[in-house]
Amino acid sequence: MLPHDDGSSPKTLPTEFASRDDLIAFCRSEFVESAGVDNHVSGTRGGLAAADERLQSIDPVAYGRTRNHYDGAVTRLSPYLRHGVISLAEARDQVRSLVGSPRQAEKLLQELAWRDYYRRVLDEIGTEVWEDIEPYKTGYDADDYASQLPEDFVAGETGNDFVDGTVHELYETGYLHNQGRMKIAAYVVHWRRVRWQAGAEWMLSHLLDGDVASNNLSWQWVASTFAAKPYIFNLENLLRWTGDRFTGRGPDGDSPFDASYDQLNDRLFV
Amino acid sequence: MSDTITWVHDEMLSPRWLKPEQPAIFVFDNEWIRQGRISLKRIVFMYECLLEMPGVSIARGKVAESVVAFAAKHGAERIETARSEDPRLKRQAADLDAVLLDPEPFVALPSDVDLKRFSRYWRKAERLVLAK
Repeated sequence: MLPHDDGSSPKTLPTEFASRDDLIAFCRSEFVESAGVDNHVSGTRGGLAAADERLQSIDPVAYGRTRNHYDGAVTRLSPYLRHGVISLAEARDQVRSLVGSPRQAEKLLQELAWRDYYRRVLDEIGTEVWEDIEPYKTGYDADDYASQLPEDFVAGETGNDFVDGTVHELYETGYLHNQGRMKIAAYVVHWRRVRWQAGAEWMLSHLLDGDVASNNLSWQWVASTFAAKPYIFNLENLLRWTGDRFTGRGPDGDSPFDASYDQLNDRLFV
Repeated sequence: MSDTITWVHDEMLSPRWLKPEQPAIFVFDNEWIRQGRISLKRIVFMYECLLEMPGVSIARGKVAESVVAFAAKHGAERIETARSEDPRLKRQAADLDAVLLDPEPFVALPSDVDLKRFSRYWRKAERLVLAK
C-alpha cells in the first residue's frame, strides 16, 4: 500500500538541517498552508541558545524606566517564555540575580506576574477565554461590533502610517511592542468597531509568542470586556511612546487619533 | 527500553524537559495549525527550538494518534507531559491519559486566589515575588 499524505496519518519530519536556510526551505514546502497565511520568516531565532542570550541581556532597572517606549529596554523574552524554552521561574530567578533587592526589578517582575496571572485565569475559564468575560463598557452591545476585520486593515492599506506600519511589522517579525499591541487592538475595536475576537484570532496567528491567555485577555482588557473601561489613546500619546517611527497620520495629513480624550470618548463611545 | 515516553507539546520546547533514555516526541498538530491559521514564522521558530532538543522525534498529524503510535513503537505504557492551562493541551493530555509534570511555579499561591482583577492577585503575590 502506497503511503499517502492526506494530513491524517502521522508523518515523521527531519531532525537535522545543514543550515537555517535549509530548514526554512523545508518548512515552506512542508507547511504550505502556513506559508499561505504569511510567508515571512522572522529574524528572531528559536532555541535555548537564543533564549539564554536574551536572558543574559536583561536590564531590569532600565526596563522599569523605559519599558513603555518603543526604544526602551524590553526583554524580548516572550516567544521563549510562551514556548517553555525558558520558564517563568527561571526568568524570575535571573531577574532577581541581577539586582541588589527585588524592589529594584519590581516593574519587570510584575510584568512576569501578569503572564502568570493570565495563565491562572485561563486555567479557570478554559475555552471561554474566547467569550466576552463582561459586557463592553463602551455603550455598545456585543452585537454592535462587526465580526470580521476590515480588508484594508488586514492588507495594511488603511493609509495611516502607524496602523499599516504595525500590521506589516507583525507580519514580518511576529513581534510587536506591548504599546503597539494595545494601540492596534484599540484601533480595531474602538475606531473600526470590530469585535475583539476577530482581532485576537488574527494577532494570535502571527505572533511568535501567541498565547491564548495573554493575547485574548489583553484584547479583552482593551475592549473593556475584562476591564472597568475601554482603552484608547490619542496622537500625543502615540507619538510619546513610539518615538519617531510614525506620524499617526494618513497621506492627507489627517489622523483619527488627533483629538483630546474627551473628544475621542464622545466620538467613539455612546 | 523505557516504559515511559515524553509527549513534548508546544509549551515545552526546552531540552530541560528531556530525560536520558526516555524517548520523546513532538507533533506538529495539523488541526491547531489549520484552525489557528498559524503562520510560517511560528512554525520555523518552533522547529528551531526542537532542533536544539537532542534526540526528540518530530512528527506532524493528529496529536493523540501520533503519540500513541510512538509509545507503542517503544513498548511504553506511560506517557508524561507538562501540565498546561491551555484548554487544547489539557484536552489532548486527557485523551492520552498522560501523567502531568509540574514545572516550578512562578509564585506559590493558594488555588482559590481571587483572579477577578490583576490587583487582587498581585495583592497576594507581590509579597512573595518581591521577597528578599
